[in-house]
Amino acid sequence: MACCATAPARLSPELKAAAAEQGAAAAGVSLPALPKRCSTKTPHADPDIAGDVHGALKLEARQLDKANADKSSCAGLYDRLRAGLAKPEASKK
Amino acid sequence: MALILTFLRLRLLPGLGSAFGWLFADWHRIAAVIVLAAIVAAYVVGDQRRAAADSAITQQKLDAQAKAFVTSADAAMAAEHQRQLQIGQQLTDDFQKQQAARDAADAKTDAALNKEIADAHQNLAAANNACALTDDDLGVLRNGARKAKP
Repeated sequence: MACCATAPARLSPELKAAAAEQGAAAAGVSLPALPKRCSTKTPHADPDIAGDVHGALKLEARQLDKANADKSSCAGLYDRLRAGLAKPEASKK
Repeated sequence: MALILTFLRLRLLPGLGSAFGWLFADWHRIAAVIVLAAIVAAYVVGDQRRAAADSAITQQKLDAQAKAFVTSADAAMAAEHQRQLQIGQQLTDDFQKQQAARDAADAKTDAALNKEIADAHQNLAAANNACALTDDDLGVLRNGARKAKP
């Protein structure tokens, strides 16, 4: 009896799977902090540099390109994060 | 009913009485009965103890399995937590690297655009200066216009 009390119990595959499932559920979801870039507003073009309307339009278009690039990067980060955090067995099903 | 009772009273009870009488008529038979009873009692008590021991072992096995289950679940929870942290850290690092590379490219593009705009200003200013009339030029034009009047 002393041998059985100290020996580590062996779990059946079903119990092992259930324990893994329970542990994964208890872990919840740990999201990393959102990068600062994703919450920072893209500023307008500097009118002093623009000079005239034509230059202002060009600079504003440039700022819009930057804002769109930030948006795409943050969306890509979210997609990769969601795919990475998905449960391995859930993604198999 | 009365017939059955009469039969029992007349046949069975005397029979039992004679059997008990035969059994306890001799000390050897009495000793044999006692030993037999002791063996039966020992077997019954031993069986109960064996069942209790089996039950205790089963309970210990169940306790050990429950403990192993909890340990396994805790380990799975820690592993999942660690996995998520690693994924988050890796993706954040990748994001920062991509942003740094894009910032460097943006800086070059911005510098080129600013130079283009500055050059355009400069060219425009030069063109305006080239076409600008001085006061002397205007004076000559005015005088010419007066002379030309009929």
